[in-house]
This record gives sequence, C-alpha cells and structure tokens, in this order.
Amino acid sequence: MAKPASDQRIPPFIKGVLHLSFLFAAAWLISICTGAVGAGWWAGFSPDQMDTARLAAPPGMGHLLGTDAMGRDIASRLLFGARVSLIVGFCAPTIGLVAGLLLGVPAGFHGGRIERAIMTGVDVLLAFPGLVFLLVFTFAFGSSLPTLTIGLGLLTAPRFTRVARANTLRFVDREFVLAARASGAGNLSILVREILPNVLPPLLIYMLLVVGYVIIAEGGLGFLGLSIPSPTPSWGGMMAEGREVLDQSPHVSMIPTGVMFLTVLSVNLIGDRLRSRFEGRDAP
Amino acid sequence: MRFFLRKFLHLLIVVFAVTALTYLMVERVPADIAGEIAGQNATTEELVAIRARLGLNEPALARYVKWVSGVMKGDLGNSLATRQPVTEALRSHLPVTLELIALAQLFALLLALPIGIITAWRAGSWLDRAIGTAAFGFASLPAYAGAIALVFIFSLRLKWLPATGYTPFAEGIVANIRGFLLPALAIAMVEWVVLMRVLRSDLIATLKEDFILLARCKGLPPWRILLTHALRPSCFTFITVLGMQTASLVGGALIVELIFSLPGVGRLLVSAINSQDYPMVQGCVLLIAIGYVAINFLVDIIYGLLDPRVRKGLSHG
Amino acid sequence: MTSPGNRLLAVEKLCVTIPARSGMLRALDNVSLSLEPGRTLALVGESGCGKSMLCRAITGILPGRAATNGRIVFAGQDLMTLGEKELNRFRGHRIGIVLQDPMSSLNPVMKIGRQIAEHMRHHLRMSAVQAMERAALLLDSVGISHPAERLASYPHQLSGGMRQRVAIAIALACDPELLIADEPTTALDVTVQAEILNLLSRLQQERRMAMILVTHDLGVVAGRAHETAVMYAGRIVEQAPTVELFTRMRMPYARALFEAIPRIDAPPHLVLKAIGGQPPDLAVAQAGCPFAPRCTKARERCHREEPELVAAEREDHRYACWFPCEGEDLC
Repeated sequence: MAKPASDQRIPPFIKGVLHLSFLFAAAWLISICTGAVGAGWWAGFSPDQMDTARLAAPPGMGHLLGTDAMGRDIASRLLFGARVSLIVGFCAPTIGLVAGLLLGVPAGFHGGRIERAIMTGVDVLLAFPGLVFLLVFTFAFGSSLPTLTIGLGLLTAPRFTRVARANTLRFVDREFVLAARASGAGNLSILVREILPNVLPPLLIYMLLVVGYVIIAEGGLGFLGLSIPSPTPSWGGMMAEGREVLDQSPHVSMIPTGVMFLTVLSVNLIGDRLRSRFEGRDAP
Repeated sequence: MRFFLRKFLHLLIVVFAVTALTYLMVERVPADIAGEIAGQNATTEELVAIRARLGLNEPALARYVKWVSGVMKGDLGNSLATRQPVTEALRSHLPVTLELIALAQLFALLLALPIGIITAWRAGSWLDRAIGTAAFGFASLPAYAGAIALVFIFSLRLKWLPATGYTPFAEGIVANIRGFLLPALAIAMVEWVVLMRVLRSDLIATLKEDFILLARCKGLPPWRILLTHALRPSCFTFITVLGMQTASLVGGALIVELIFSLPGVGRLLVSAINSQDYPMVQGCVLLIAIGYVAINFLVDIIYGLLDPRVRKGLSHG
Repeated sequence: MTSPGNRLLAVEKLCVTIPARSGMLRALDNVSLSLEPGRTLALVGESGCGKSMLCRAITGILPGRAATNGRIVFAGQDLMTLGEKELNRFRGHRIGIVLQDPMSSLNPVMKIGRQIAEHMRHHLRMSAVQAMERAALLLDSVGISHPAERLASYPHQLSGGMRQRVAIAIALACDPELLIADEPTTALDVTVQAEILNLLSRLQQERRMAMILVTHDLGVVAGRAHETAVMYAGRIVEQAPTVELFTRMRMPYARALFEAIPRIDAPPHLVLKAIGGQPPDLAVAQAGCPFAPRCTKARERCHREEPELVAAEREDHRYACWFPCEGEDLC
C-alpha cells in the first residue's frame, strides 16, 4: 500500500507554521506595528484633543472607536499608545537577551565559581518581585521611555540568563565542541562559532514569549499611572482611566484591554508555534 | 542536614542582596524629605536639625549597616509619614495580602487540578484542544485586565459582589470573604494556566508508564487510577510551580490590591513610595523578599517529603 | 481436542490491526487457541511476534486506535463485546496478569502492601484491615520473608526477584481463574529466573488456575507447560502438547528456535545457532508463508501460498507449513 506523497514544494518547517491562527496573529501584529509607526498619519485626531461635545461616546459618529471620559478619540490614542507598548515591548527583551547571552553563556560554559556567582546573582534578581522592582526603579530613575526600557530589560535579564545557561549546557559537551577544541580553537572562538549559533535560536523564540510579558508589565505600570507621563497615552493608562465610567461606558476600558489582549495573544501564538516547530514537540 | 544549611545560607544572601539593591536604588531619589516635613517656611537651621535627627547626613553605607543591625533585633525603624514603627504597619497589612494570595492560589488550584487531569486523560480529544485554546487566551490576559472585566460583570451588571472595600475578619467572615472573591479570582484566572499545563504534561508522561498499565489490568476504575496512581508521581513540577507562583505573588498581588482597595502590603508599599517614606519602603521590600525566599524554601522541603526516592538521597547529602 | 464445554478460554480467529505511521500493522492475524482450567499454555516467539499483543487483547487493554475482529470467549462470555466497565470486573479479578519488568510495572511511590490490597478492596469489597492481612498472606505464599513488615516497603527497596514476586502476589490477589504471565523472567537475573518460574508452576497447581506463559525462550517451556504454541508475525505457526512438540517439531521456524537454545552438554566454543534475517514488517501484506524469506527449507510454493494451521497425524498437533520437517532429524 503506497503512502500518499508529501508536498515537497514547501519545506516542512514552513508548512507546519502556516496555521490559521498563526496567520491571524501575524496579520494583527503587522497591522498594529504599521499603525504605531504611522500613527501620525493614520490617527484621525491628536491624542489629547478633546471633543467636549461627546464624552465617553460609544463607537460611531466620527470616532471610530468612540471617545474616552475626557472626549479624546480612543482609536488615535490607541495608535500612539501602541508606540510605547511596542517599542518597550521589543527593545526591553532585546536588552534582556543581550544580558542573558553575556552572562548565561559564560556561566554554562565555564561552570565552577563563575557559574555559581552569576546564578546567585540571578536568584537575587528573581527574588525581587517584578512590579516592586519596577516601582522602585521608576521611583529612582523616572519614567521616560529609555528608563522604562532599561528597567524592563533588567527585569527580564535573569530569566534570559537562566535559559541561555541551560541551552549552553546542552551543547557544551557535544562532539562538535570537543572537535573544535581538539583542533586547537581557543575558548572565545568556540563560544562564538560553535555555541552561539546553537544557543541563539531557542533564545530568540523565548524572547517572543518575553515580549508578551513585557507588554503586560508596561501595561501594569501604565495602569498605576507610572508609565510614560501624560499627555502621551499608554494602553494601561487608558484602561485605568476607563474605570471611572466603567458602568455607563465600558468600552472606554474594554477596547484598550481588547487591543492589548490581541497583541499579547498574537505574540504568544507566534512564539509558541515557532517553539513547537523548532523543538519538534507538540505544544500543549 | 548540610543540604538544608546550605540552602538557608543561600536564602540569607538573597534576602540581604535584595534589600541592599533596594537601598541603592532608593538612594538615587533627589527628594528632600526634610523639606517636606519642615514645611514651606522652614529655616536652614531647622532643615539641618531635621536631617541630623533622621540621620540623613551619614553616608549611605553607615545607614544601611545601622538598618541591618536594627533588623537583626527586630526593629525596622519608624515610618517617616506616620512616625509609627514600620513593623506595626507591616503586621497589620500582611494578613490581608496573605489572605488574598491564599485564596487566589486556592482558586487557581481548583481550576488547574481537575482541568489538568481531565485533559491529560483525554489528551488529543476535541475537549483537550478546546480547553488548551481557552487556556492560551487566559494566559495572554493580565490580572488587572481580568480584574476590570470581573468588576464589570459581577459588581456593576450582576451586582453580586462588591467592587472595592475590605471587611476585617473580625467583623464578619462572609463579608470578609466576599471582599476577596473578585480579586482572588482575577489573579487565579491567569495563574491557573501554567499550573494546568505543567500538570497535564507530567500526567500524560506518567500515564504511559507500565505501572498505569498494570493498574488498568487490575480492573481499577479510571478515576481511581488517575487519582491514586497517576497523580502523585506527576505532581512534582506542579507543586514546584505552585510554590514559585505563590512566592512571586507576594509582590505580584500589588496591582490587584490597589484596584480593589485592599489594605495589603502592596498598597502600603506604593503609598510609601509616593510619600518617599524610606524606612517603610525598605521594610516592605524586606518582607516581600523574605516571603518569596521562605516559600521557595518550603517548596524544596515539601518536594523532599513527597518523593521517597528524593528523601533517601537527601539523607546522604 | 477438548470439548467446547470444558474450555475456560477460547480465542477464535482473532485479528488485531493497529494504525501506525508506516501503514496498518497486522499485529495479530487469525489467531485461534483454547485453554482448559488448570492447564498451562506457553506462547513462544521472537520479539514482535504478537505474543504480548495477544495478552493485551485478552485483558482488553489494546491501544485505543486498534481495530479488532474475532472472538475471545472467557468462561462462556465473549470479552470483545463487553464495555470497559464490564471488562473491569474481569481484570484483576478473574484474569490476573504479570508484566515483564517489575521495576516499571510497580508504582514507585506507593507502598507494596497497598498495591496488593487496592484491587482486593475494589473487587472483593474487603475492608482495609482484611485486605492488608490477606496481602501479608499472599506475600508469604510467594516466598517473601517477613511479609508483615514488607507491606510497608517501596518497590525500590526490594531486589528484582522480590519485586516480581510482589507482582505475582498482585496478580493472584483476587483468586483469578486465569493467570497471564507475559515474559515474567526476561528482566531478571538468570539465577532468579528458575525460582520465579518454579514459583509460578507451584502456585498454579495449588490454585488450579489456567496459565498462559509467554516467553521468547523455548528452554523455559519444557516441564512447565502442558501445551506450547509457537508464534511468528502475528500468527500461530505450530501448536502441540509440549512433549509432542519437542519430540516432533514440524515447522522449520519452531525447529530453528529449538536449535537456538544453548545446551549445557554442547562442546565449548560451539557457535550458537541464530536464525538469520529479520522478522517481517507487519505493515506490508505478504504473499505466502511469513517465515519463507528466512527459511532454509523454503520452496517456491512457500513464497506463493500461505500455509494454513492444520492438524495432520495427531489432532492436537497443528502446524502451518507446506514442507514440514520429518521425524526427529534436522530439517
């Protein structure tokens, strides 16, 4: 009995990833990014322009997604707020990734006292509750965009270090490393040429999952009013402001909630899909 | 024995490092507390005197050391805002946070345990896939967003539960619990997903084992096999994750406390930060760090108790 | 042949197919056998011949996506028609099973006393105390010393042989009419193997149970089984009372298995006779006898037509071969 021939034009990796949910997620993310980048052009209104005639108006009548309690156009504010969320959401994990590489890979590679010292540092940082750290950090250093990014980046660094170290340990005893060493390669060249290319892919995939976490964390800060100071809108801030009119006009809170939810969901979906494909296991 | 001693030492190092870090960061704030206390028209002499009284003139390291030695004696200093001992404030606010965390994790457990078991037993079925998708959704929603949705549905529309407010235990158990239901649920709605996934994955692996086959060959009903044979060897990661989550909730329940106006440690910390109350900030962070580390320590102990094989190894280590 | 009324177990034309990545695996192909109360049937064959699958079919624990055909009649009831709940009344109660590796078949985090007692409490409605007392008695009957103290042990605290004795105690706990022993000694030290096998024989006689003894080693079978069936590629290829089988093996595969057994009186450094080649891929339907590719005596008809399992000279000796071995000489 002959097996049906598999489709050989599309490589298996790409084929598995072209799932419907993945397409939706990618489409959403592309839209949000485009919207954020071109907020100045797309947005119908300036983010702090108040339409006092229509306070907390539902979607329609000139405002695509309605207005908030102060009459500001929600859709425009979402686009500008997206800038903050997305910039921080992608830059902070990048900082964390770099930190994780610089600390985690040597830790796994050299072992011994270096590893113990670094991992104890990691434990200390992990013992620091995330939000508390962010509060104290913004308290100490202010909440401008660079500060936020650095703070959130530092927050994610310990986890990246752990993952980097774990992945380094997987490869450090492999044959190709031993072979490289046998042919006289020095430590640094081994790290860069053999270990790094193998450790980087899982880290990049992990980074996608961290992006979701950072967007939520920045949203949390915004919710508490500790993110980018107004007048710059932030998604979290919009959600918090909507609480005042939650009863009469739930859309003021719910729409930013929905947007943040879809963004984080999309990032998680893509990261999860890539991870399951890369590791060859089925995602739960 | 040596195993526990080494862990304990590790614990202490972590706690002190956390407080030292906090101290360093808080130091950066260019605020002038003395000015706040003295008021608008304070003279320079008054400012100097206040600073001296508060010990603000000494170098940071000396102040930190003094604080640490105070901690050893159980004295965390006095709040700059209320002039009351920090320990008093912590003592009155801690139970609220603890109750919130306990309830939240209880709900998360009640969700994750049965759902994890059922999806593992029926892995690959439409039910499993549907639940998995829903779980993914829940995991992408932050606690504060869930809190808003819950308040909208249960407080504003259905009017079943209060949106804010706290009733102390002493004044009525039912009212007390009612005040915690929504906040605990908001937290649990996010936490349960990871727990469920971990349990499901371990259970699926366990169910492939031979001793499960033998249990089936003994003619035992499925629920008994799941609960008595499959669950226990599969719950190690589950318990570890539960512990880690609980530990990080000590600081992480903060936003929810604020949303629902619960007088917990989180709210204490935020107001301390807003009023630049250094000793209070230090005290809260210390408490949170200790809580985090202690709970993780407990998890390690429970782990050892649960698995007789690990216990055997421990006695040699 | 035995009269139908006497049989405890009758498997009739059992087929089991399992979907796998390479196609539909025919794990069992038209298998028929019968067993009377108190008798032992040995199932012999290489790995993958279907002997374990047959055991699992009898207890009804097949992989979820298996397709089945045929009947398995136990004490007058066709087990294939029963649902899970009804099958559970047979399992552990009227049919006991001992699996191959006692280290993996016992729950590592449960005390062995409880593992023996739990299905006694379920099937026989015993109280905890009664069940534990009986568990201690069972441990004693399988030759474990200090049974009462042993009840509180964990499997990793026992040796391999003792663990298998515990597994046997579990299988016997509810006084089954049929005991299935699926390669009970394969995972054990050679020195312990004979003890366990002797234990099984003794217990079987004491309790007048029927037993199916599965093994890949023909040497284990002599003196312990009343009847022996040789399996290959999911089929029974020869079946006879053990003595008759050993004196007059007909099917070349059975012969080859027999010759592969190392003999204690063989000259030293004698090369062990292995059977060349590999068992067939069960996913690919083959014409002719499944053993033909490896058979030294195969002729053209063997590759073309599959021989049926028939009895020739004696009614109780069936074999499937076009050109069976004659007499006692080598084929």
